[in-house]
Amino acid sequence: MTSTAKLVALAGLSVCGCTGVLNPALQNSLFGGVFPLSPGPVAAFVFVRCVNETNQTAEFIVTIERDVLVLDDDGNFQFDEDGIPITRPERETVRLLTAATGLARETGTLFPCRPSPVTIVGLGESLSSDDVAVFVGGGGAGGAQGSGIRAGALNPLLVSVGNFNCGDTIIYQAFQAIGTPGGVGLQAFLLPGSEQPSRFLGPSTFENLELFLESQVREDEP
Amino acid sequence: MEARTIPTEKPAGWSFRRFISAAFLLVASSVLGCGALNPAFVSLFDPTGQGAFSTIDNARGHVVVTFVNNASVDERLLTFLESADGGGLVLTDAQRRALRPRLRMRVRVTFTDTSFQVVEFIDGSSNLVSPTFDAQALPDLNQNDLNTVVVQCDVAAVTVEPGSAIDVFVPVQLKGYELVEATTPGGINTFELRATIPPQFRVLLTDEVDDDGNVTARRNIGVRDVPSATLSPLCGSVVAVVVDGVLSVPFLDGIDDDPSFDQDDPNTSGGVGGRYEFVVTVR
Repeated sequence: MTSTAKLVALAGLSVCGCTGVLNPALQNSLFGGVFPLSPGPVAAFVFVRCVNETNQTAEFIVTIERDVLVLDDDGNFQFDEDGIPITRPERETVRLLTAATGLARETGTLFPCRPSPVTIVGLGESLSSDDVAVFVGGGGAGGAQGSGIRAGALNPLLVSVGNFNCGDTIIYQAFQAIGTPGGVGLQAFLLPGSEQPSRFLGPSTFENLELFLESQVREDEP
Repeated sequence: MEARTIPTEKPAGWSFRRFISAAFLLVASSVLGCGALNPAFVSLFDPTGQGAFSTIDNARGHVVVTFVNNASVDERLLTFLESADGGGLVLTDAQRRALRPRLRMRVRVTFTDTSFQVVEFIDGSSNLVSPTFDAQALPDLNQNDLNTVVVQCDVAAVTVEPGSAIDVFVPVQLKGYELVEATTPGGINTFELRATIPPQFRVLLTDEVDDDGNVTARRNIGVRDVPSATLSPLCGSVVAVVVDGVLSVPFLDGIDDDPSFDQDDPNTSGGVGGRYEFVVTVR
């Protein structure tokens, strides 16, 4: 091996910064393309990830609103006089608990876009800027809630103005911030599903999930 | 035609360019961290328009843990709920077909760095409850479903949280009777009402077996039908916990038309809530 090739190899290992360069998970974090990071464009979910960098436990209150299709008594969609499906808004709130350290600092959930599209995503139960978005420093499941951090300008994200689309990943990050109320700041990130590859070296996680869930629908289910 | 040999040595200029590239990458990764080389650019969304150049590192990959509820509701229980004695629950045909028992279970996800998360899955129909009870006063019904969690790689194990139970919501009041022996000679033993249990979550119990594996007391879940642990799922996998079964309650026929059971009959009292099986798959 020539001295130049050795230098290039050494630079390559240094770039990766560790000896685990062949770890698929590490490879994905560096270059992507091994595992999907967002559901789109192959799977119809909105993926909400909650990342905790506060060094305390943190419980994220994630709320979505979707336009639920109105069904008749037989389970068929109802339409107005213009042939447009009738919908009504419906909210869902989930609480995602994250640990203070390690890989358990992050958790997320998936909201299906079909048959009822997700229209609003935000933190807090009421999707307002005054809502408590995250409880920090609590006792975990079954314990005390901890200090509440307000959502502020993060709320809400609307599909109508293009803040997100079906297939995207929305990442909420809580981090230590000196000078902010509670010493914790919140940020939001978007990973557009349309910009992600549709093929991966590893399994297509979200597509596999969607196919599996479709196979579980009972024949008699409306 | 004269064959052209393929040069075996790279031109000096090409080596220099690669040296510069490698050096740049080395400096960039050292100063900015490996995430700075992230080609899957993650843009900052900020409605205030500030901090437009912040990014966040790529995720390592994800493991999805999902809870799929394929259980159904016993027809006799449904008929009782829709009757006047049961409160007159009104359901459309579509709602009837979509009914699921409300099930709850805690799952522990342990990562390779020994950290762990405990997730409470809850799924099932929140409108399946006797109208004689105020559904708004039952927080277990008002909580939104959570049946899918996405965690980052690498996962060491997905198990039922140790010390926790799997519960099913029993949507009707249960009456517990006790057989009382007659006090007079030639008298008739009678069932006396001893307890009334309002609608609530009830722990699902596993069958009791002897040393040979024979069932000595039948409960809610067979010993082979409990959710099994998943060890070291590959990054990118979907771990699915699928539950099948039927939500049912006993009726002490001839004694009471409402859901009721003999408290001294372990097979009946232990089987309240129905019969279920759990299958865990990884794909």
